[in-house]
Amino acid sequence: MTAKAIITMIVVLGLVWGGLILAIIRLQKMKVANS
Amino acid sequence: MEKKVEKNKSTGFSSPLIMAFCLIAGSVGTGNIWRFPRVAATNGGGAFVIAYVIIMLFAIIPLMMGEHVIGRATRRGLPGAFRDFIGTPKSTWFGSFVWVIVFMTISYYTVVISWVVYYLGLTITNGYVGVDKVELFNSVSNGNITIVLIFIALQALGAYMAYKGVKAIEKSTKVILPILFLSLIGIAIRTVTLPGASLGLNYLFDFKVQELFKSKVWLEALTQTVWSAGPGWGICIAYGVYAQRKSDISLSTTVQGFGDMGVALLSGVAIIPAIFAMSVSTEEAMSLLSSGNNGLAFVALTGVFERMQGGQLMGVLFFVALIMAGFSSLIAMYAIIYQPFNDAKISKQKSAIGLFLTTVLLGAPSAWSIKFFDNQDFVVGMGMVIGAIFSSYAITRFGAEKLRVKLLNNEHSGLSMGKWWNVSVSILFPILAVAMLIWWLILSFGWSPDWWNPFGLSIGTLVLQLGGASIVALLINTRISNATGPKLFNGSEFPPVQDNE
Repeated sequence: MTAKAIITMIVVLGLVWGGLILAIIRLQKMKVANS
Repeated sequence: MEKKVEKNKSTGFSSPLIMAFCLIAGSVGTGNIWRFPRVAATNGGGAFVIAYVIIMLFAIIPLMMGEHVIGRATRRGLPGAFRDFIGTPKSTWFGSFVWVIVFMTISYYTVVISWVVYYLGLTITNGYVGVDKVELFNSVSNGNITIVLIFIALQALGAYMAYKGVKAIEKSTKVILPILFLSLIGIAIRTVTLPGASLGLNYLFDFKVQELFKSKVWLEALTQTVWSAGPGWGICIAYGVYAQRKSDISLSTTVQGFGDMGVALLSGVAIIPAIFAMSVSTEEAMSLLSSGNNGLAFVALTGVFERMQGGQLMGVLFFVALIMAGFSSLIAMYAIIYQPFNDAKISKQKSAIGLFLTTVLLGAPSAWSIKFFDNQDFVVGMGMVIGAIFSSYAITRFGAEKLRVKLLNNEHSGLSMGKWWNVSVSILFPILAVAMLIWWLILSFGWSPDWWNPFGLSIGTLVLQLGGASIVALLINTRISNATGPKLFNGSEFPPVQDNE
């Protein structure tokens, strides 16, 4: 794999999966705050 | 009043997180698993992936947030939602049109799931080993009575889920999503460890900078986002109807959008390396990836599974993942087409039976012949883009700024949208959607030189079917509007979840 492919893979997968996990955690916190 | 709200709590989603997972399950369909990887690899790899993520973040997820507000604000199925959100009975037509499109989608989409169920059986019994894969698929997709029977059974199951309501959607999601994720992770772990797999990952993520300036890469990425994530076919409106008043909208929709992207990327990582590892050359791998959705799943990948060590297990996981993705979308579609019956106070039983019979009747030709299937796939794809334009129009008519300030960024929101959201929903998305429509119409001239032919993949068939859907929606506009219950939305507050009885 080229360096560009590795960097793109890490950035994109990190952004999407990291974003998903952070959004889920925040949503759980909001659930508690709104209840 | 308090008692009524408490009672209604039992009819809506039990928590924002569950709702977000149900939205992921509904959005994720077979397109994430078999379309995203092949389109990404054949359209610039990393450039496509970057374009796809950018469009999702700045055009698709914002529009889906707006659609979610429409559902939660009106507490009505598609026709009533557009009527009450735009505020005129004439506007019922927009929702009825999208509703007809979803009906058409169910009718042919269930055929895909039927093929996948059949192939799961073949995989378990080694039924495609040593067999000509093209001939096998032709025999499955044309005149196959088993497919028709599976198709009828799936429609019955979908109608039953609609009959059981939102709690059944929650329960099924708790089973479907883990199986889907685990299946894809299992395939990914196996395929990335195959010798030669890194070549596939390189094709998926490497790119030339000039690819980012090619309109085709962006139009393909836009098409993938619209057809996969699901603005324009009503899932956000339909599930928004069941959302509790105090739950967050922006974050739930963000989870939905990121979940949809996550599954697509995971599928890419699972499938592309397998294709490259099992091909003798890059040319062969690219040829397999260029063989269309059906060609990839039922012809190319079955061949790959046959040659791969442990391929039978991989095949089982792949077809199980496809079934989970497909069936969860089917459940969402049934919820969408069921809601207007509920708004008209037609009994659940009658609605479910009516839906089952209609979808079986409409889908039987596609289950019997792939020619009908391809035609419906094309028409529905275009219909969804138009549906998304309708959502953008409804939000703009209501006032994007008013919606953002009063309904989206409310005290229960954990993620505030800035003014850029207005520009995205009212200006950026319609421009992109019109560009996409024009592009596909131009492409259709290439497939079908006799553009007027109402049975080809042509403008003629679009005019006939989408025009027909529009005319039907217009003719029954007043009847549908009158049959839908009274307006519940006062323009500034979300009404409580309505009884789903």
